[in-house]
Amino acid sequence: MSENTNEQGKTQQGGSQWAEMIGQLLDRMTGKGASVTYAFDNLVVDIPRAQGPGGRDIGGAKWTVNGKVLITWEAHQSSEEARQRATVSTVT
Amino acid sequence: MLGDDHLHIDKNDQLTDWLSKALKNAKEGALAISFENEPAVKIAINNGTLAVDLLEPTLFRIPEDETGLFDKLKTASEFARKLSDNGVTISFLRKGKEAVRLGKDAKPTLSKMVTGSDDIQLNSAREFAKLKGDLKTD
Repeated sequence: MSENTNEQGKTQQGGSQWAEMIGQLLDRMTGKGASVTYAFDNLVVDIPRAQGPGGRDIGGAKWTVNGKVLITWEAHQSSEEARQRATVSTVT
Repeated sequence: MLGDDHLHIDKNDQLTDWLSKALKNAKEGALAISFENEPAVKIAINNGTLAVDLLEPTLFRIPEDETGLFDKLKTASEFARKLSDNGVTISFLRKGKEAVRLGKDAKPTLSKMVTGSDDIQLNSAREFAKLKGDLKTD
């Protein structure tokens, strides 16, 4: 295995640990309020290479995320379906 | 979702799910999360270093019967060793003050006497004690 592949593997393992930790952290936060704001500040995410149908390489990507996402929940009395309605807004 | 007394964000929030996955591959940048316009947590990432600032730590209280991340923190040595092996550093801050650092860039000095680990740096015993207190259920 090349050194580069080793480094990539380590980064991915490290990422798994981050993800596990962040996932648990976020789990703690859900269900605790009626509005949540996520503010992204130049968050750079490397999307790993992937294979499409027939094993075709469809490449990877690099995302840079900026701005805010506001999620709010409202109660509505008019009907059962509309009793709870989520709204998602993006700011900036 | 209608909860005990008031509305709650759905536990199956898809954005949260997406975020967890995206952060797995995040390389740099920051994410701040607020509840009801009150800052709750800020996560800063910079090439293998993750700083988690618990701005409102009581939101993350752990019931006694639950295990997971914070259980790992209780038995942090092994977790920190794994982080080091993978070139990852995680810092936990309490309201902006670093309490403990785990993993590759941890430089234990006196804290090795307390933790017995080369991979845990106790930056502030005071902040760490406060953080433990905040995270503990009454």
